[in-house]
Amino acid sequence: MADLRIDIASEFVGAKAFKQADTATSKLTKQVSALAKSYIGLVGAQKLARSSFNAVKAFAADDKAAQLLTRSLDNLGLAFADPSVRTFISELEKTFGVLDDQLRPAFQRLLTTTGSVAESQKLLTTALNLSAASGIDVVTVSGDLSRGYVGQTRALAKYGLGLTQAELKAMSFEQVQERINILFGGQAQLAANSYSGALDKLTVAAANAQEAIGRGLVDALSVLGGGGEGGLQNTIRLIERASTGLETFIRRFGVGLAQLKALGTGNFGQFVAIGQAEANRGKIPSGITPAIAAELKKAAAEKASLKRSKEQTVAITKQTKAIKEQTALQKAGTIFDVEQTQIVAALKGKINEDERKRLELQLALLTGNTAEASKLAGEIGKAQGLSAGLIAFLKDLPDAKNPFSGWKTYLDAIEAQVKRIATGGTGGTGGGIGGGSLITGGTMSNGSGTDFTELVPGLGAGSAFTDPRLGQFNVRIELDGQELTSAITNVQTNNSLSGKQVAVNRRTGTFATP
Amino acid sequence: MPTSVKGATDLRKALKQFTPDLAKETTKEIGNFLKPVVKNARGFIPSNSEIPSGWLVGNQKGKWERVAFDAAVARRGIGYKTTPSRPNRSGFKSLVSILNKTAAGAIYETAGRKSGIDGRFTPRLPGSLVGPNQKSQGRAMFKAWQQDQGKAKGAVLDAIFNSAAKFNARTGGK
Repeated sequence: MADLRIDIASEFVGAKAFKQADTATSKLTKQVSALAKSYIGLVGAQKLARSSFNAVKAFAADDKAAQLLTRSLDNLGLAFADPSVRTFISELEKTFGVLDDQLRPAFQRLLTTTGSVAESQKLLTTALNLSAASGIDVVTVSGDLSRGYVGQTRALAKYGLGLTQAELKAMSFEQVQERINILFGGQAQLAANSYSGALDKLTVAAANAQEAIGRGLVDALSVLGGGGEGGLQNTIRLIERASTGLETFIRRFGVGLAQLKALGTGNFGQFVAIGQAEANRGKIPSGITPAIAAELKKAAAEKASLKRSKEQTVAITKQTKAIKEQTALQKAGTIFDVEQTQIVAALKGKINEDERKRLELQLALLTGNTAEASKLAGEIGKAQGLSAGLIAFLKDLPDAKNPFSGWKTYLDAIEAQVKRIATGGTGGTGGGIGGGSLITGGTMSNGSGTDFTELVPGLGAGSAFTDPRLGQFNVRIELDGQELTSAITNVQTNNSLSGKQVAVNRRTGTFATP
Repeated sequence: MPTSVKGATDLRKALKQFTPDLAKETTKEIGNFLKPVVKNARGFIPSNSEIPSGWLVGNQKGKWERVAFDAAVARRGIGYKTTPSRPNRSGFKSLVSILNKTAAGAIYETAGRKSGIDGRFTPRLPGSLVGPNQKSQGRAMFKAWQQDQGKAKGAVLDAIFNSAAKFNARTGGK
């Protein structure tokens, strides 16, 4: 909390504060300037180092590409063409302003595809034209052309040749190449003659200069190492030794300082201990160097591994032997197993599926094949379950009645009726000739009770219908049971055909027509 | 708003360096003008019996113990200062000031400035807030300052200017 105060007189010292700030800024500016100068020097040195490194790197990349191309030519049996190819690429580089870093891989692709230096040179020129026209780098273009050379012309469509995929497929590569030359011929030369091309040429010159400087640096390092084949290696070893020496110097400088401090405090024991620690640095009290210790450890590990491997082999051999013995014993036991033999014999006989399964289950149980036994037991159980279900179902079914059992009664009734008609009696309310003899005293009436005797003059009730002009005659009806059955059958058949089905319910024993 | 005096710090330094006696004399003279105001301000600090009992030292525990009221301490906390302070954020350096340094004194001085005389505490405080605006209101120091009506201020400034004149006279400056 700020003090609670009443200011009686104050002075504005902001100006001074600004002055102080100004002074501080001036000092800072001077310091920054000095720092900038130092930094520029440092950056300059760094730039130089970086440039040198880049130059060496560029030279290395160029040299690698050149050697790869040379090896490709050699592998294709075209080693004789190496100088001419180098010249060709160098000329192309100068003419079209395209870096050899791109031309070499492009040419290599074409060369490995075509196998011909002349063809590759022609295609590379085409690729340069196409590249200049499309803006796609020459390596990609030559890759597409090399694919087109072997029939994969799909990738060429993107260059806007005015050809459909179908046309590209149908055309030969020579035709496609001719079209490319017609469409884009001279584009590379035109591009090279433009300002952009001039800049590209400058870039090429700079890159070549960088490579030349890099080559010079590598040569210089090689010369530093004594020159010749192993010169560079000698330099590398020298650098390694120098760095190791520098490391040792820095460390021992620190040790010296520590010893001086110990001397200053009069601690001679510590002084000696520091010296001894440095002298024994990297050594093991037993005299075994780290390298030897590592070798010993490696040998011990190998020995242990070998031992483990041998033990595993022995264990596997023992296990295999035991399995073999067990199998042999089992097999021998199987031969003399009478029960098993019987089952096998039964299986060979003519048996149904259910019996086969049962026998197989028995055999599986005997041989200890638990998986098979379990499977078969399941199947048999299932079959048994189904059979039991079926039996229970059939048992529950009611007895089927004879559908023709009622026929006899029916037929007997018909027969009785016929007999009754034949014997002449009338009966019932139906119309027709009444019972009794028509001649000897029967009455003639219709169904409503009208007596026909009134219609015949002189024919009274119970009187005989006799006409002397007609003479006496007798009517006799004899019915054959078979014919009657046939008639009924015919009627039923006709009814069936007419759509009047006879319903016979076997289960309930009913018999009816609709 | 304090009166801005240009060159007062340099004058003070010069006085101390070249005319130490004049420096002492000036300090003493300023003190003489401020002492009545301080005395008057201390007189406005109430006794412990007038203060709400819960605020008194002994009845406050923990973090509130620091701000507990004790009349003697609060009175001693009011004083004056003639040495320059560090510049504030606006770049002003205080040359002469009257202070109420204790927490309890400051609370008594300013309680109710913003929130008004309301609640359970400020209405029980003796005295009243006096001052032309919120920032200059108070019950003790500010009240005494208001009652002085600028006499002390004028005297202090005169003393500073007089010492400058004397210094110039002695050292031959203008």
